[in-house]
Amino acid sequence: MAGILSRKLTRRTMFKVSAAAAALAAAGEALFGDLGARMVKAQGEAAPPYDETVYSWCRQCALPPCGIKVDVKDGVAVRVQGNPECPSNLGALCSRGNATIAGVYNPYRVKAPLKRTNPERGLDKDPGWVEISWDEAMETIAAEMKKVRADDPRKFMYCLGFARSGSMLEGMEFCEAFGTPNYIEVDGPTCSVHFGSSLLLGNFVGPAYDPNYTRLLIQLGDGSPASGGYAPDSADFASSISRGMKVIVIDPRLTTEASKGEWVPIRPGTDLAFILAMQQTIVHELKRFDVEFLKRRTNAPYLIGPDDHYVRDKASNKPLVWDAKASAAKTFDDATVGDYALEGSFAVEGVSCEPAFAIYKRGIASYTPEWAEEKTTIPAATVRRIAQEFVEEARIGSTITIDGMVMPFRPVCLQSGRGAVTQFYGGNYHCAAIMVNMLVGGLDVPGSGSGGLGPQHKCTPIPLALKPDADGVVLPKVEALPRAFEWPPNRLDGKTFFPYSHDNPHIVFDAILDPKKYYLDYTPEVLYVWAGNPILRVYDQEKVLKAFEKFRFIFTLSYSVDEPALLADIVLPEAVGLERYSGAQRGALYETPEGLRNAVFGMVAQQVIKPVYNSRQPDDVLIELAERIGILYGPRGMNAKINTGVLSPVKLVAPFLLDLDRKYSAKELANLVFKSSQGAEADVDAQRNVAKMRMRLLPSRTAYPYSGFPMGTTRYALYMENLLCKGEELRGNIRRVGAMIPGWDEDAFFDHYKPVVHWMDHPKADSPDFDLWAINWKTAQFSFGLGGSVDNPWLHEAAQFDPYLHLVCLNRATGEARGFKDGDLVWVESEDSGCKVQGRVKLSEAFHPDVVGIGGLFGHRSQQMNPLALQGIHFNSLMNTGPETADPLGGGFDGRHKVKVYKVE
Amino acid sequence: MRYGMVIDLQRCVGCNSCTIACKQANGTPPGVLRTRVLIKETGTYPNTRYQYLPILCMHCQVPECSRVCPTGATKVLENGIVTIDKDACIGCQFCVMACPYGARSFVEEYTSYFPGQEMTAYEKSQSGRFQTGTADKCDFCADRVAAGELPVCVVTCGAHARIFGDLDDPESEVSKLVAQHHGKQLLSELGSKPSVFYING
Repeated sequence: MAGILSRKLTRRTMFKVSAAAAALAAAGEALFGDLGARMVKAQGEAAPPYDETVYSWCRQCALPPCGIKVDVKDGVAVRVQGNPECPSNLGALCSRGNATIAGVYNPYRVKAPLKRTNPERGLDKDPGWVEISWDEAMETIAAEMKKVRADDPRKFMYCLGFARSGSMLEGMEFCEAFGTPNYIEVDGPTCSVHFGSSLLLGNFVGPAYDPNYTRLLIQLGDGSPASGGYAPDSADFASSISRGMKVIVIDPRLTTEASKGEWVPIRPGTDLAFILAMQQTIVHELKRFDVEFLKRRTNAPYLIGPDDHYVRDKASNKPLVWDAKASAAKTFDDATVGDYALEGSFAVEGVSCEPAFAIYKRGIASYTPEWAEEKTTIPAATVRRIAQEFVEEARIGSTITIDGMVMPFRPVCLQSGRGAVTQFYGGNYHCAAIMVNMLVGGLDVPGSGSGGLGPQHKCTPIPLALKPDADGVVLPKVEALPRAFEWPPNRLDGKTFFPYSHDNPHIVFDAILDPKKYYLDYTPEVLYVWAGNPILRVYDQEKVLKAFEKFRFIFTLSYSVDEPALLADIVLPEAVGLERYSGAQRGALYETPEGLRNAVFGMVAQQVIKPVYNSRQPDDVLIELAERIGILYGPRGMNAKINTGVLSPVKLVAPFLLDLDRKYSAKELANLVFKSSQGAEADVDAQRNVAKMRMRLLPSRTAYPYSGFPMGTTRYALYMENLLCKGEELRGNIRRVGAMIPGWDEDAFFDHYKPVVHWMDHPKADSPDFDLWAINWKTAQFSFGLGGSVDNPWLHEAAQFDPYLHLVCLNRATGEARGFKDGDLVWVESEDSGCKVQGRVKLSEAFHPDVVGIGGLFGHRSQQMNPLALQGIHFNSLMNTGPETADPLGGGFDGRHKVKVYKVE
Repeated sequence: MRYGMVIDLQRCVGCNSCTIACKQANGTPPGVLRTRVLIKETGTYPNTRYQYLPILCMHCQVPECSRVCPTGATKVLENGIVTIDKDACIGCQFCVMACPYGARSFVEEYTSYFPGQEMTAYEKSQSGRFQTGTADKCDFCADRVAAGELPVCVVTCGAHARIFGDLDDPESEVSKLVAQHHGKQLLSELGSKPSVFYING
C-alpha cells in the first residue's frame, strides 16, 4: 500500500513518506480508494500533479486520426494518452503514439542549425558540422534558392515523405510559387494503392470493409485492419471479430487478421490470378451475381462497338444500351428502358455491337480455378469454396434502412492492401479486385466495402466523392484524373509517361542519372529534403547516392542526422509533433445520445511544450523561406496558392482566407484552419485545455457513398472504357512526338490500358537460380517509419516481442530442405537489383514455402543517429531498380522480388 | 472488493500498445516492463496461428511472491491488489525468482534509454518515482484506480481486449465475462488464484 502511494509523493522527503506509510499501514482496513483520498488530504496536496493538461493531436503515423491529452510538469511533457473525447480513438492510443515522449527528448535529435565544413560528401565522411544561427542558415539557403530560381526554377527539387503528415503546408504551394514541378514524395512507390479506387470509385482509397455490418471480409496483401496496430482500426477489427465477422486472408504470410480467421497462403505476385478466378467462378460456374446492380448501377449494359468503345447516340452523344423489351437501342439514362440486355449481339445504325458485360464475360472465361492454381498454389476447390461463400454471404437483393433511407445491404467485402496492389500489374489488379465486389452489388453500401478519402482530410463528407460523369459513370478522381500531356517533359518523375502514378521517386533518381532516357534537358542542382528519406526508402541505395552527388547544394529539415542530412550542406533542426501547431479536419462514426452519427471534427495540434532544442516547425520554415526568396506575397505568391485550397491538405474558406501580403505564423494558420472547419468561434488557444472536440454531426448514412448517389444516379465501370480512352490518348501523344517509353515495349505497356481486366505475364522470365520471392510487411511499432520510430528506444523495447523482427524468415520445410536452421547467417541476393542483404534465419510455419520474409524497413547507415536505428535489414535493397517493371498505371514498384538465399561463408 | 482483469484473447491484436502505455504511465527504466504481450506461433503450415498473450502481475490471492518475501514488503490488499512496500523491500529478489508468471523485475538503478547520453528531461522527471534496489511490478495502476480511473493498459487498448473491475461483484462486467466465457487463469494448477482471467483463448 505505502509502496504504491509513495510514488505520488516523490517530491517529499523519504521521512514523510515513511511516516505516512506507517500511519496508513496502521489504518489498514479501509478500501484502497478511501485510503488514497485520505492520503492526499493528509499530505495537504492541493495542486494537481501536473501543471497543465493539453489536448492535442497525435502525429505518429501517416494521416493521423487520433486525439491525445498530454500532461505537462515543469515544462516537460510527462505523459501522452489518447483523448477519450476524440471520436476517432476514444482514449485509445497505439504503441507509436504511446512512445511519443521518448522521441521528443531523444538526445540524437538535431539541436541547432548545422553547416558543413568538409566539402567532401559521403556517408562515411565527417561533414565537420559547425552550429550556426537560424538567420545565417536561412540566408545561406535563400541565396542558393534565388540563384537557382534565376537560372532555372526546375533545377530545385523538393523531396518529402510520410512524416509531413499533419502539417498544414506540405510544400506544393511553395513549389508552385517557386516555379518547380519537382515536388517529389518518397513514400508512395511501395504502396501504390490509389489508382483503382480513383478510377472506379472516385475515391482515394478502398474499398474498405464496414466495421458495423460486414459479415465476410476477404483480404489480399493487406494488414491495415489489425496488423498495423492503429488504435481506431484495431477497435473496429476486434469489434467486428467479436460480433462474428469471418475473415479470409489470402497472403503469403500469416497476418494478425489471418490468425483470427482463415489463412489461405498464396505465392507472391499472383493475386491477380486469384481475383480473376473468383470472377470466373462467380460469373461462369455459380452464375450468381447481382443482375439488377449490374444493369442499373454499372456500365455492364452499355453497348460496345468493334472499336472497343461505347456506341453513342448520334444526337446526344450519350452511350447506348439495348432495351430487351423494346428490342431497341436507347440512351443509358432513358427512363423507358424496360430491361437492359447484358448479353447478345445487336446492330445499331449499321454498327454491330454487344453489351459490355458480354465482352467482359468472354474475357474472363478462361480464368478457371485450375488455371489459377498453377500460378497461386491455392487449390481450385478453395477458390470455388471462397467464391461460393462470398456470393452467399452477400445476400443479393437484401436491403437495410438507416436513418430512414432504404439501402442495399451486402455484408461482404474483398479488400486489397499494398502487398497485392504494388505489383507491375497493380493498377489493373486493383480494378479487378474492386470488380469482385461489383459482381455482388457490394460497393459503397452498408455491409460492403466503401471507397474513402482517407480520414476525410479535405473536409469532404464521403458521399460527395461519388459523382457521375457525362456518360453516367462514376467520375474518376485524384490519381485517375486526366493529366495534360507535357512535352518536352519538365518533371523529373516521368509523369509524362506514367500520368496516373502516385509518386515516382524511383523514376526521379533514374532520371537524374540518365536525363536523356526521360527526354529531359536539365538535371536538378538544389535539393531540399524534409520528412522523408529517399536514401532509405528508394530501393537501390548506391544509385540514389550517385544521384545525390549531382546536387550542387543540399539542405534538409531533419529530426536526426539521417542519411540525407549527413550529405547536406545545411541541416535545419525540425520541431516534432508536441512542439508544433497544426489544424485539420477528421471524421469518424460516433455514438451520441441521439444515436450513431458521422462526426466531422476539427483537430488542433497545440505547441504542447516549447521546443526542446533550437528547432522550428516546418510550416514556419517554409513561410520564412518563401519570404526571403520573395515568393510569399502577391497574387502569384505562396499565400495566394494556399488560398486556392487545391494544393494543401487543409482547405481555408472565406472569411478565413489569407491576406496575400501578410506573413502568418504556424499558429495563426492553425487557427484559420480550425475556424474554416468549425466556425468563427473555434479558437486554438481556447481549445488548449478542453477535451471535448468541436464537431459537426451528420447522419450516419452519410458514411455510405450510396446515400449521396443512390440507384439510378451513377454507375460503376465494369468495362473500363475510360481507361481505354486514357491509353489511346497517351499512345497517340507519345507516337506524335516520336518518343519511347522508358524501359517499356509500347505494346506491353498499353496492355495495361485495356478495358477488360486480364492476366498479364511478368515482363521478366523466371530465372531458376533465383527460386524464392522476398516479401515485406509493416510492423506494428515501425509502420510508415515516421515520428522518429526507428530512433525510439521504447518502440524497440516493445518490438522485441515480435518473433520475426530483423530476421530472414523461411517456411520451416523449405528451410530444412536447404539445410538451414534457426540462427544461420545467410545472404539474400536479389535477381533484379543485384544487391544482397544479410540476416539470421528464422524457420517458421507462418510463411508460404516459396517465400523469404523480411519485415519492416531498417538498416540506417548514418552513424550520427541513435545506434538503434542502424539495426536490422534494408529490405528495399532487394527491389527492382528501373522503370521497366514499374506499374504503368499506379506507377509503383514491382512487388515481385526474386531472390536466392545461401549461407554466409 | 477484489480488483481483477479479464483479457479477451480474441480481441487482442498483439500490438503492444499496452506495453508502452504502461511504461509511460509508470516511468519505468529500460528493461522493466510491468506488462507485455507475448507473441507465439502455433500449429503447422498452413494451419498456423499466432497466440497473443498479454501478461502482467496476476494479483494472485495466494501469491508466491508474498510467501517468499522475508520482510513482508509484498502484501495482498483488501481490494485484491498485490503491492510492494518499497520502503520495506530489501532487494533480495526472492520474489522475482518465485513469481511463476515472470511478472516482476528488479530495479537496480534508474538508467537512461540513451546509453552514453545525459538523462533526458523526461527521464529526470520520472527517476524520483523509483526507489532503486527494489522489486517492481504492475499494481493495476492503483493510483489511477483510487482516483476512479481505469488502469492505463485498459484505456489505451484500441482493441478493447482488457476489461477491469471488481471480481467480488457478480454484476460487474469482469465477473459476467469470467462466468459466461469460462475465464481461465494461467497456471491455475499452482493454486495461486490469480485475479487475471483470460477468455476466448
